[in-house]
Amino acid sequence: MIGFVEKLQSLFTGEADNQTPMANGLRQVAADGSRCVQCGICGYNCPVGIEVREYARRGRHVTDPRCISCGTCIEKCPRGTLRWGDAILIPDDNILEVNPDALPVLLRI
Amino acid sequence: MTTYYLIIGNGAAGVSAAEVIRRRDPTGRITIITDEPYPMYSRPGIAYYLLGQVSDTQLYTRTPSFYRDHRFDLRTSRVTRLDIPRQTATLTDGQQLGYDVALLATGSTAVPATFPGGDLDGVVTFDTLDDAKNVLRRARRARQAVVVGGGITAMELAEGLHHQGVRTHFLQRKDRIWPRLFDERESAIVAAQIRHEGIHLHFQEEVAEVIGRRGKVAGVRLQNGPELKCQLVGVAIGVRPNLALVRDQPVEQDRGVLVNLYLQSSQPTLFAAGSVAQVYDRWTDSYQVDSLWPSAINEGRAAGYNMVDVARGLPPSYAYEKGTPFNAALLFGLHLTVIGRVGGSLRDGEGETLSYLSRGSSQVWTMPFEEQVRSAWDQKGPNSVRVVLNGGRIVGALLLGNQALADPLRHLIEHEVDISPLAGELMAGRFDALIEVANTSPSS
Repeated sequence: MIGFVEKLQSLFTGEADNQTPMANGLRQVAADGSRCVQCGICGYNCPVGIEVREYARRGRHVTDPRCISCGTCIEKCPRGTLRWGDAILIPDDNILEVNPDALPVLLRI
Repeated sequence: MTTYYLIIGNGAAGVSAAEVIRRRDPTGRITIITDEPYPMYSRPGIAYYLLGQVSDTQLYTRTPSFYRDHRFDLRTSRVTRLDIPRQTATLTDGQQLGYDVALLATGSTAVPATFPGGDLDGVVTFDTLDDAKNVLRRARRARQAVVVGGGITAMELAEGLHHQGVRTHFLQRKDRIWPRLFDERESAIVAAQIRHEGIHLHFQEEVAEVIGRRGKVAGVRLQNGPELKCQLVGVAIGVRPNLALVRDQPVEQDRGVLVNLYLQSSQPTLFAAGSVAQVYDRWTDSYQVDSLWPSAINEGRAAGYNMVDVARGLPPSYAYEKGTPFNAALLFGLHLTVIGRVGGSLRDGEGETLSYLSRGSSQVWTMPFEEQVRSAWDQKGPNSVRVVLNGGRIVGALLLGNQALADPLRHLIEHEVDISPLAGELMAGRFDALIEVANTSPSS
């Protein structure tokens, strides 16, 4: 929540925060799926109600258009799963495995 | 003909297996048996629930319609008997379920207290969401608590109880915290943090006996003599794989169910995954048990894939390669990361085989080395890095506090990058060059 509040404050004071993606407009919340234990703290703290875990556990960028890039989920994750990453402009969410017998994708550990 | 898959256990391994099975076999019947009245939840997350950082229902890891959407038949029951030759499981209510292929994903359970009074009302363990709810309920009434154990779960219990406003005494049997894993300086960093939080840390102290009054915990008598009043005793001295269903059965087992590279037990229609399975580890060239979330997921997926092969009458086709055991935790505000082999110390006369595995850890971490290994350290205040070198490669690392090197070290360990040119720098405590090497070395 602190990240969100600071973000709001920075909007009013006009101070650019170079740690957050709004400053450069090309960053998204990225995830290391192998660190995620699916506890859901990320989504629990999301001010706009995104179930961040669904992205985090798959190691995907949070491409939900509702994301306001406040960074609260990054700040609250106890395991370092989330961080700022370069934005993926074309989300890969729809690229599904078409072959049901494709080998299982393992978490990279 | 419909194939019948039976999955015993609704945790990370069981559900991961079910998901892969459903993708490969859209019409198979998949039954998941759980003895807990919940959909799959985050086992590691119960510590955050005790710390008030997340709600209980938020710990459910899947959408409410998940089981229905995947046509998983989730049954709240318990398998009381597994008849492996007849491929039949008997449930608590006497119902018998036949199966074509079964997965044992029963996880592990806290080792109960061995001291007198360990069965009194108020002696708790911390395995499940119900355990967490029980601890939370009791913490609201307790003024003082005693926690015994040295691993992550013990620390989570101590931190959680303290957070709930209970005056907490944390007992360590030796002169170090988690002596199998931490060295003296790492233990000192963690100890300082525990005391800074306001938790009462006691070294070389054990519970001799829990004192009861009308069946309830009233205090403990310590080995060194004094008594401590308390209403709650937390026991987290390690976990044991839940092997009851295969004990006394013709299934090869050691600490866990021994499985081949396909996660298949010595009985072809029975698979095992997660912390109940003992899996081949190429780093140590031996079969090891992990109590780690990502290991459970990967083993579940691999087992699920191969279960479909076996159900189709084919040999299992997906050979699983166990990754570098890794865990990250936040304890008392201090970040901890353990990767790979950090070297078992037998100095205490206590090898891994003589004591229980802690939840959230791997047997691989502390396997004693036969080879000549060297360790390099860097320590600044509450931040410490230990890097274990074997030949020209880094085989393990333990980081406390600052995590800047965690990902570079993971990369170097997983990809077995030759860092011989840097060995001198590392031994001199200069670690910065690692980041550059990790960034420029090839990845898979």
